[in-house]
Amino acid sequence: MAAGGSAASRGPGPVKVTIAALTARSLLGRRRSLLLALLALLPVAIAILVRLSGKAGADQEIATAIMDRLIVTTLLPIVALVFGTAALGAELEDGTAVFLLVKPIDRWRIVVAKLTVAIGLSVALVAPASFVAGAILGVGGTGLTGAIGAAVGTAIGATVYATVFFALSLVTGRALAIGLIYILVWEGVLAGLLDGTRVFSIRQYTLSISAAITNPGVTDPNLLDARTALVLAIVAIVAAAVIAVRRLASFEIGQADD
Amino acid sequence: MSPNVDAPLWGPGSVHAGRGPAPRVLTPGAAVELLGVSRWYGNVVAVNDISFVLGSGVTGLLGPNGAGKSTILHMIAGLLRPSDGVVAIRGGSSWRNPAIYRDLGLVPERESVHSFLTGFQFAQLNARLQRLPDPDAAARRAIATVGLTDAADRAVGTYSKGMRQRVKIAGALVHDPSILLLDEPFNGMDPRQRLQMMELLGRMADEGRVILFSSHILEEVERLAQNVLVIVSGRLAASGDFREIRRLMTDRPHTFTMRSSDDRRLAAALVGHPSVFGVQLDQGRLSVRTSDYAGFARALPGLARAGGVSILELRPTDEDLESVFGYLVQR
Repeated sequence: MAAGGSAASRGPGPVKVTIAALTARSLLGRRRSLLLALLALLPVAIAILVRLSGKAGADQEIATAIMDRLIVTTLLPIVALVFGTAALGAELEDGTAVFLLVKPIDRWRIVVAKLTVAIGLSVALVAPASFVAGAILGVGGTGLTGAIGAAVGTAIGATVYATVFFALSLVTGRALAIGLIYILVWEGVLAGLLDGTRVFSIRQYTLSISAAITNPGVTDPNLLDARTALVLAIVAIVAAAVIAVRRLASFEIGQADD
Repeated sequence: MSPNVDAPLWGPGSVHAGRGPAPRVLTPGAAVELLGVSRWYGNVVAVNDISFVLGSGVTGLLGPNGAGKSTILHMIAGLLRPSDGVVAIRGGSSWRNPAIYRDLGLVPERESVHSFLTGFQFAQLNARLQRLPDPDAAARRAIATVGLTDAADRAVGTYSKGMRQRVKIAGALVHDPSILLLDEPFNGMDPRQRLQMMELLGRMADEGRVILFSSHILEEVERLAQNVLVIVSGRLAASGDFREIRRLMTDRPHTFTMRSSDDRRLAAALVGHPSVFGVQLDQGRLSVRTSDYAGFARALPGLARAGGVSILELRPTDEDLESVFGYLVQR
């Protein structure tokens, strides 16, 4: 057993594990992860209050407001934005990624390791919160189908968001600001108003997939077809990951003031 | 249109087809070579047509701030793409070629270590990313080389500036590279730390490594480097043996301003000395121009004593690096 372990440490896998472990430590070691955890607990706390006030079952509108407005439109993209941009983009900005770049490691491995952590942490924070909130509010009627739908939908949404924001942070140094504008202006306002923009809305992918799991067979004219949404989500993830790898492969350090 | 369009710009046996005197052929076996390398940012030229070959030993990359030293180091380290020319590490391009990092270590100028890591953890991390067979042993060895063993288990965030510099070096040499690049390694260090760092770099050079470090401080380069590359405004102003360049720097005309108990009498005494070719008395200040720095320095006390003048102040007016470099560029 021990011999197998030491041989494995020379393979390509552990390099990714090493990078991933460092990234996770870096992302979780900071004060913002506590803040994000509190943010994730907020919808759960509100759901408990709603349930205690006895309105949950009767009023699906309150449930939808919490699940859609609070979780899918706010918590999900913000958590993914923070983790997605901090995992690599912020380290390239502040110089802590340089030691990683000057190693005999293919750049795509660095992207895969760091992106995996950004996605993993985003999903780990958002999906349980939406599952618990969904279960407490009794979304989609009795049973846990609604909560499962919410968890799966937000997990997929978190994956798309984190990947897109990760790529964005390799394209521009202002990824956090641009990401926020995208969340507030595009996802928050425009994508709800204009029909044709739905295919470019990550929020739509999330809601469509959640709805399809919660109420299979029911089509909502305000949402994308779930299969289309899933295909678009995969296309977005692959495209963003490819952009990220290409950007890192030809990454140039900022002009130093030497 | 051009008849030379098919001729290779560089390569074994080929000669640069364009203008310019330098034949563009990579030197076989060179550890680090720059061949006609330029780098520009938009309209700003940061590095302009630089060529050099580095061999083993310590080479100082000397130049004032903003001369392009970091740009050159970053191009060698594969972190910047040359706009023109070739940067080769052991014959292979440094751009988009992670394989070069097996034999190259970079110590960047910026604070670039996660502050939550301990010194040992940082070295170990570098060893793991280099896929070394025994990362722990390599990390311990690197930490010992830079003299951080006692502080190895403390977080880098608690380190002094000099220790942080050294832990970066530990990370860069954990895989025992033959090429080591250091960007302003002495910045922010106190004199004792500087001395330790110089000893460390000297020791590593004695082991046959190729070491290139940048500095804007003449004395650092003088004490450490056998060879020097002087960079001014993105151009290679001088290169070669340090003593030769030092001689060029010392033999240039120097100007001193003085205050003394009797400026007029001192001026009369100085003007007769062969090392002095100009004396000026202006608003109670005496300035003297000399072409022979050492001769003047030796003669001055005797001349003053003979004239019965005591010197109250002697100050070189153009000793700042900018003027030294400016002089080298004009030559």
